[in-house]
Amino acid sequence: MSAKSKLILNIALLSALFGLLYLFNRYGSGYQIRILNNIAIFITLAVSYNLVNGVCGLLHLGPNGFIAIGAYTSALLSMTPAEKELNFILTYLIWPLSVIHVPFFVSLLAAGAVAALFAFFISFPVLRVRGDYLAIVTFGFGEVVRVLCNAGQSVTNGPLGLKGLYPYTNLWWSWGVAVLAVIVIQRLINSNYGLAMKAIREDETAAMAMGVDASRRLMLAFMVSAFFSGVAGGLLAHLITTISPGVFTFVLTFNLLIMIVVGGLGSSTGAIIGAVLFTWGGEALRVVEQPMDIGIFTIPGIPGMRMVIFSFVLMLVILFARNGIMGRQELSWDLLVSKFTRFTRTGTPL
Amino acid sequence: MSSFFSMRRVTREFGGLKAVTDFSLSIEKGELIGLIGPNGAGKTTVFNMITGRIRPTTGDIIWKGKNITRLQPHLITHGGIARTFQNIKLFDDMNVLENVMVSFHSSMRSSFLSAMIGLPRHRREENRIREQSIAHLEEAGLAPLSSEKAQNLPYGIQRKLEITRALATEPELLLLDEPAAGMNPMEKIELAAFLARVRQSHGISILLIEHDMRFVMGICERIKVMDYGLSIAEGTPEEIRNHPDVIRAYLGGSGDTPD
Repeated sequence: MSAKSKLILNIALLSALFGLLYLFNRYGSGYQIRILNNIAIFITLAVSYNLVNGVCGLLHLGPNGFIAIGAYTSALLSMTPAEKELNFILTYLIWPLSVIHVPFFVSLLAAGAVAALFAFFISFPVLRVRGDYLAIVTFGFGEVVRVLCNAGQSVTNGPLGLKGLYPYTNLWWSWGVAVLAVIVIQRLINSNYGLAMKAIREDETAAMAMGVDASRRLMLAFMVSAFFSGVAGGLLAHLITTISPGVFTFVLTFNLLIMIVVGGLGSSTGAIIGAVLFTWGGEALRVVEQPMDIGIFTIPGIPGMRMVIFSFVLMLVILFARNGIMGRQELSWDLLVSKFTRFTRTGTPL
Repeated sequence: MSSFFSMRRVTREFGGLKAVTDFSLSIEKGELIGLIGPNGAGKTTVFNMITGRIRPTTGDIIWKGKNITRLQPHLITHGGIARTFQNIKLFDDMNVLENVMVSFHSSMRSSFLSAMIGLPRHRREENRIREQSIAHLEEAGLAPLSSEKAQNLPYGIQRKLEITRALATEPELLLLDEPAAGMNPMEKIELAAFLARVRQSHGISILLIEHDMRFVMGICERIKVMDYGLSIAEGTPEEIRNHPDVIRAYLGGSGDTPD
């Protein structure tokens, strides 16, 4: 298939997506719009998380830290000085932050930049180790960020959190960022940089022997991933309008991990599918947490049942379908065309 | 004194064990040298020290007049020394073409940002790398297998791909760690012809570790023998074949039996 027809198809697909979003924005209920916003934010998070975990093969367990950094940065920059004064009742917000007020877009960029800066500094200790050790160090980072958010009252307002953020995040912001993140990260993965990252995942010693500067490439992936996690954190903050350290626990990382493992580690398509299934499925499964009447039994609502089901699904995937839904494959027009022609020729699906 | 490549009295200790002791070696441009010795003699340790994977305890490694003893592995590769591995280390889940394309990564001039935006400059560079990689595959006769996953290739082809991948870094010195291991006699003959061709067309020096004596004696101009981390002999294949220390290392014995 020629590059031109692919471009046309891509544009058509994007217009269809944004047309659909327009319809929802106009006629959808607040609940539907909320779910769509969540889906977009989790697509951004899952695709950027997959860059480190799936493509580079590092078991990074600290994205909740980067999301928290992005959320707090963006919130502190976008609130007006008056709003900040209302929030900080126990201590005062330190000086430069207390007067800065920037547009939402700038605050999102800053959220990404600050998260990437943190990624740069922690990549020095983190990338000295691999495997289980890297998982432990990054997990520790995520927890340290959360604890610092709790303790650094004069910056983050501690456990009280920041309340009453203006709900800037709408469908255009969240899906705009999601589409941008997917395109940009996918371009990186398909370039020679992505190839070098995959080579490091396959065999780091060999990659280095072929002249790949492994630590710099991993640092690049780490920073790009952190950037988009930070931006998504900013979007999340202005969607839920209240952030506190409790929002950014390890559960957030665990959810992302479920998405990319179920979708297929190393596949951005898989990450997207995982994010959609998880977010939408999470809402659809609310029924299991409600009191139920089954004939003579009455089951009282059990909060947290959804997580039990998700964990169960994760176990099933690990045990019986370790490659997830997509494996390492990406959905592309070429793949669709080849599947379609095979189907029309032989009549066998897939 | 300034030779093409030289190792001067290099020693490496692992704890109390001296894996390599006072090892010296010099290679001239275009030479093909064999490094042989019984298992555990320290041959692969020598390779690992040259390519920067492990650092010598003492001694220097000089490459084209520069001391590369403490350089990082990827910088040594940029400098023009490439290697293959004893236990094949291909990028298993990537196809043949991608395996070779990784070798050109260090020649990328466009930044990751231009890759992410998709600038035309970057696309041109990707195309250049693709074409150069295909040229290398054609030279090795692997072009028809371009889109095959590396892990699905037969053993002999995997060895060949590893050599091709190393050659794609455009080295001046190529280190081959048991390139003929596990090959059948036909494949070995083919490999010897391939190495001869590569040497001629690229004008590179080759240092190879090999256990197959007929293979080594057949293609090497000079052979270095190691035993227990020590260099015990050096010379032409003819000299090595009759060297008493070499025979003792391989066949055992007290050494005072005349032969």
